[in-house]
Amino acid sequence: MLNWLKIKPGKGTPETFFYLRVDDRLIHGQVVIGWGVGLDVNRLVLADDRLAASAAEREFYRQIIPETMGGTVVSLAEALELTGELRQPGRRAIVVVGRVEDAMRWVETGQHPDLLILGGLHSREGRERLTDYLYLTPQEIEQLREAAGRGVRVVCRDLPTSEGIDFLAALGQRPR
Amino acid sequence: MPVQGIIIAHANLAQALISTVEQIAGRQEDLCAISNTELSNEDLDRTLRECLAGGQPVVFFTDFNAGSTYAVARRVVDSHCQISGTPCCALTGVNLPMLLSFVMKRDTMPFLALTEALREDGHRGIQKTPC
Repeated sequence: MLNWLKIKPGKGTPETFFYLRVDDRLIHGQVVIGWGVGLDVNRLVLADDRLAASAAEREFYRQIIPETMGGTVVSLAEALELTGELRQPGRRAIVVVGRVEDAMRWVETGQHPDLLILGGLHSREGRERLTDYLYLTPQEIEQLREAAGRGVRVVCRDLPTSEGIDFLAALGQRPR
Repeated sequence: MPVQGIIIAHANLAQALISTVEQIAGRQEDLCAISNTELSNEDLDRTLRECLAGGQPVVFFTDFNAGSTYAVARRVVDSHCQISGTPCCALTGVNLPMLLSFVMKRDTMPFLALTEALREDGHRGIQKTPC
């Protein structure tokens, strides 16, 4: 069985996967280089209602995502509809959303990703620190507990070359 | 008003570039470093807008066109600068030749010509030996 905390680029990279990444920086270097190039991603979807509504933003992201990654910027509803396509054999797909509540749309509709990756949510008022790159509000923690409770594999992981931390384990390790 | 240079980069690259420029060209005013480490796009956006408060012309130097640094700087240029009329521009792929060109030329050229010169000098600074 795949050890989903230890997926590394190169040998052992799954041939088909659908990962859902939560990252408030959306598409950026870690996503394009670390994950995209590292895991030979061939479908990279940015799901964000505000950006999808702007032709300039869609064009900007089209330019920065390598063509081989099949980049697209769509609304959340459109991304949810794409999920079946992302499950096709040979698809190595990552959907990026900016908020936990957006990721929960996949959980609530039963379209569970192979991994729900908490890749970067930064410090702001009302959030507590789990890792250097991960700060969550109590509400976000409850939503993610719910996702894990429904059988979604939730992992804290900024890069595929770094060690993943199971979300529930990270919660158990936080200082009281 | 003097043109302000703001380097926005991953990890400690921006600060390292300024230290290097200053070793070569001496201490610089109106040249500052911002790291995106532990900053969300929203935080970075706010930080850049604070830098614009004085109304000085600004060149944002970013490290990586596929990175959050350029994504945010580009948005600030599109929204704030174009609306306020403050001359500003964002460049990607910052390197030492580009920054040295900036500190040497910023007081000598109109803003638009300066930004074109920076792009060209950044490119020109990349050479290759036969191999």
